[in-house]
Amino acid sequence: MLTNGETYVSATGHFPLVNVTPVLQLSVHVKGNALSDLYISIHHPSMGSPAQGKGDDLAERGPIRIGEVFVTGQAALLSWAPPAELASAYPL
Amino acid sequence: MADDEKVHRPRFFDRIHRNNRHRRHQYPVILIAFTALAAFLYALPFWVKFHEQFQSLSQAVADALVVAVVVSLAVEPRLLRYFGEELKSFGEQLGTQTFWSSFYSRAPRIYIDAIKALAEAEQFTIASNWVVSFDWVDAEKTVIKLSVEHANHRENRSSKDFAVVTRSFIYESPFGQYKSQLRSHAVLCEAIEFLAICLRMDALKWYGKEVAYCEFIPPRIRKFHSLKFPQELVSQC
Repeated sequence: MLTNGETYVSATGHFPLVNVTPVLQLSVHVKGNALSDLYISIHHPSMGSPAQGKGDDLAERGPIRIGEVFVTGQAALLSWAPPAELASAYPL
Repeated sequence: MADDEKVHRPRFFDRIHRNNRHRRHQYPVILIAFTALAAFLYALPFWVKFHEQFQSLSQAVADALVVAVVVSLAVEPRLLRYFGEELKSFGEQLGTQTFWSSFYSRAPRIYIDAIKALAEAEQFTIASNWVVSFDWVDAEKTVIKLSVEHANHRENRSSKDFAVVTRSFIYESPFGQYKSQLRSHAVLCEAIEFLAICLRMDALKWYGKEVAYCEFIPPRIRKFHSLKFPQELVSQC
């Protein structure tokens, strides 16, 4: 099944990537001209944050494989925010 | 492992790792015990005089223990890894993972059970590939156009139909001037050379026992379409 959709979001947000059938593998590929201004993080229930960093860096990695074989389905959360906002929320 | 990852790790996986650690600790203890017992049996005739038959018996048991320890240390891991590599050609990492977790005696029990359950599953997703594109809409960089492409590759190994259930969604846009939309939803089945472009949710239905029907109603045409396929072909979708 091939699904294609689009929506409009603010500079900070998240999007769930969900499969409810048994899944052998899941991959995420990020791209776009806004990535240079964003910090991307992919969260997985069993792996914590297997991929996170500057948007451009993640885009260069191509499709990023998340998780392993999952019998009860597979889910990951893609979240993003501008680096400046993260710096103010989590000061060093 | 970083501290923040520990915090987020669920109890389920903590239990797996605890069991795994426990098994790993057991394994060297058993090997050391076997080695010590073999050494004891070898040395026993020097201390105590037994009947010749008993001496040969203890010698044979000691030999067997040494062979078991050597096989366990040197041969078994290499053999298992060799078969695991062989299986890679069939299903890449899946074959290896399934093999290791099913036959590797020290794999966590929970993981073995999970892989067995997967082996029994006849309808599953082979790969779920997401491509998410972030593009600025305005020069002020306040609104992002989020484009989501999802390819769900499925496989049906049972004689039953694999229901096409559309669970795809897209967030509603909070910006009035920009509307979200599900641009396309397509079902492609190579086995029957069938491609349905469903532009409306719930437009696709499968039903029937002897013969299955696929119905889809493109909203622009508003005309009912019905396609009829033999059951054995539909079951492959």
